[in-house]
Amino acid sequence: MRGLAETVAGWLLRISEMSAGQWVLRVAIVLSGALLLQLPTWWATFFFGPVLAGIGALMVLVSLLAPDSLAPVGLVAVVGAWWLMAGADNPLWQAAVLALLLGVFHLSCAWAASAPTHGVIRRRLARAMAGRAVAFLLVVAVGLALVLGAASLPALPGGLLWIGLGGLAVVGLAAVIIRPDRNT
Amino acid sequence: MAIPSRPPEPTSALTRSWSAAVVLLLLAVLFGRPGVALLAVPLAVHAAWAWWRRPRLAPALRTRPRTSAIPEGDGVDLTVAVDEPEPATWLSVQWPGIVGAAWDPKHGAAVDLADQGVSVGLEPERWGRYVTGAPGIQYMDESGSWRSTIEGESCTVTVRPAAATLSGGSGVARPIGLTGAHTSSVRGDGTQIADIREYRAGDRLRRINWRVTSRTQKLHVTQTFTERDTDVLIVADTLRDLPDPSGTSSSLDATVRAIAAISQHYVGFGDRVAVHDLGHRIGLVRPGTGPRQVRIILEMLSRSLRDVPDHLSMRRVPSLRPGTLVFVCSPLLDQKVTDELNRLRQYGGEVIVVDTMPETLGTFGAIRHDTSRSFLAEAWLVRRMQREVTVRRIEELGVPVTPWQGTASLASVLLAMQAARTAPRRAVGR
Repeated sequence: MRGLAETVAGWLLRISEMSAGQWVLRVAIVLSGALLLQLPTWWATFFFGPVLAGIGALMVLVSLLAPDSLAPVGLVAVVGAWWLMAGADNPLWQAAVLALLLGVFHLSCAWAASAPTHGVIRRRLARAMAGRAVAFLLVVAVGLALVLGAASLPALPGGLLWIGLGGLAVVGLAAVIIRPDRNT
Repeated sequence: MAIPSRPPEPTSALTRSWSAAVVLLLLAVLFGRPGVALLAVPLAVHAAWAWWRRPRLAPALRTRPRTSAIPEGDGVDLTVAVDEPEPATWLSVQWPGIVGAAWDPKHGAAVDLADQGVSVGLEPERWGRYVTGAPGIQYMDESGSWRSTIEGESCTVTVRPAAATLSGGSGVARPIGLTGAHTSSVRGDGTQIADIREYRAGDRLRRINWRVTSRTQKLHVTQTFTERDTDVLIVADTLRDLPDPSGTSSSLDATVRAIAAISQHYVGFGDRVAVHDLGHRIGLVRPGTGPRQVRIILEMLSRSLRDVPDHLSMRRVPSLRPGTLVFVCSPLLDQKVTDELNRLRQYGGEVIVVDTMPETLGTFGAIRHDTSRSFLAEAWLVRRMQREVTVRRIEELGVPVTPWQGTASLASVLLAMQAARTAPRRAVGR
C-alpha cells in the first residue's frame, strides 16, 4: 500500500508541477483519446463495446501520466479491435476521422515523452512543434485520401494472390523503415 | 571538452508506430477491411517521418561555462550545446536541484531546438561555492522517434560576497605605518593643520604662512600632522555557525559580510589588511594592500566551508604589532575567544568586537514562532542572557562591542574612536 501511495503522490506532484507546454500536449492526449472512445460508441455499438471503452479509458489515463509506457499501444489496440469487430458496415469517412484522431493522440504521446513533465518548452520550439503538427496532419490527410481512393477502385481478379502481395508489400515496407542503418 | 555519446536509439513511439501499422495493415489485408487500413495510415506516416529524419551521428555536447565567478545577487546562464547539430533535432536538459540556489526555469529543466543549445539560469541565494552536478541531457529528433540519453558535465559557480562599503570614518587613532591616509599625532609633512608658530632655523620655506607673517611682521610657519597608514587585522570566529531561527542566514554569513565590508573599507585608505580565522572555515589571508588584496579576501570568503562540523580547537593569532587595528567578528559564546581578544588587547592592539550572533536567536519572538516540541529556543534565550554578562565585561575593558547590522553598524564606533584621537587625556599626577 505504501508503494501505491508513493506512486500516486508522485503522479500528483508531476501534475502540479507540469509546464505549460506539457499541459497542452496532455490535454491533446486526453481529448483525442476521449473522442477515440466516444465516437465508436456512437457509430459502431456492439456487445463488447462497454468493456473495450473501459479498457480504453484506463489506457488514456495511463497515457496521460506515462506517455512513454505501453498504454498508448493499448489504446491503438482497443480502437483497432473495436473497428475490426464492429465497423465493417460503417462508411469509410468515419474510419478516416478516427485515423486523424489517432494521429493526434500518437504524436502528442511521442512529444510528451520527449521531455520531463516540468520541463519548459521554449517559445521557438513550441512554434516549430505547431508547424510540424500541422504538416503531419496534412500528410496524414493526403494518405487517407489515397487509401480512400484505392478502396473505391473496382475489385481486381486474383483473390488471395493480392492479399499475399499486399502482405508482402507491408512487411517489406516495415523492414525498410526499421532497417538498422546507423553509424556506431 | 566535448562529452562523447552514443547514436540515438528508437523510442517507444517509433516502436509503436511501425508495429501497430504493420499489424493493422496485415489485419486489413487478411480481412479485406479498408477501414482498418485507414487506421494504420497515421502510424505509417509517423514511421516514415522517423526514418527520413533519423539522426545519423552521435552528438558531441559541451557545457558552458564550466567554472564562473559572480558577485552576490547575480545569476549565471549555463548552456548545453551540440557541436554540430543535425537539422530538426531537439535538446532536453534537466539540471539537478541545489540547496541554496534557484533555477530559471523553476526546476532547471528546459527543451529547445538543438541548433543554439539550451540555456538555464542559476541564481544562487548567498555567497559560497556551488557545484551543480551533472545534468541529464536528451538529444532527439523532431518526430520523437529517436533519442540518446547522456550525462552532462558538472559546473562550479563561485559567488563572491557583496562588499558593501562601511559608512563612517576610519577610527584609526594612532596609525603605525609610514605613509597613508590617516592623520597621526606626529607633526611633519601632511595636510591637516596642527599649529602656526614662529619660524625656526630648519623650517621649510614653503611652510611660511604669509598671512600671519604680514599681520604680525614676524615670520610664521604652518605645522601639520603627518598622514600614515596602519595595520588592520580581522579575526573571524568560525568555531561555530549559528543559524538564524528563520533559516535565511547564520553567524557565518554575518562574519563573511563584515569581513568583506571592513577589508574593502580599509584597503580604500591604503592600509594593510589581513584576515585570521580562529576556526577552519575561512582560512588565513596574509597582510596586503590594494584592490588585489580585496579580490584575494573575497575569493577566500566565497570558498568558505559551511558544512564543516563545529570545532573546539582554536587557532590563536601568532603575533600582533602594537597599534594594529583589530576587528574581532564573533558571536562571543566561547570563553576561549574572549580570552583571545583580551590577549590581543594586551599586545597593544586597538580591538573592536563585531557581534555576529543572529539577531533573532534567543529572543522571545523566536520562542513564539518555534513550532518544534523541543526547548531549544528557551535554551538559547538563557544562553543569550548569560552572554550579556560577557559583553558587559568586555565593554568595561574599553573594547567596544557592536552588533553587525549592515554597513552602518560600525559608523558610530569608528567616529567615536576618531574623535578620541584629539580628546584631552588625563595626565598621571606626580
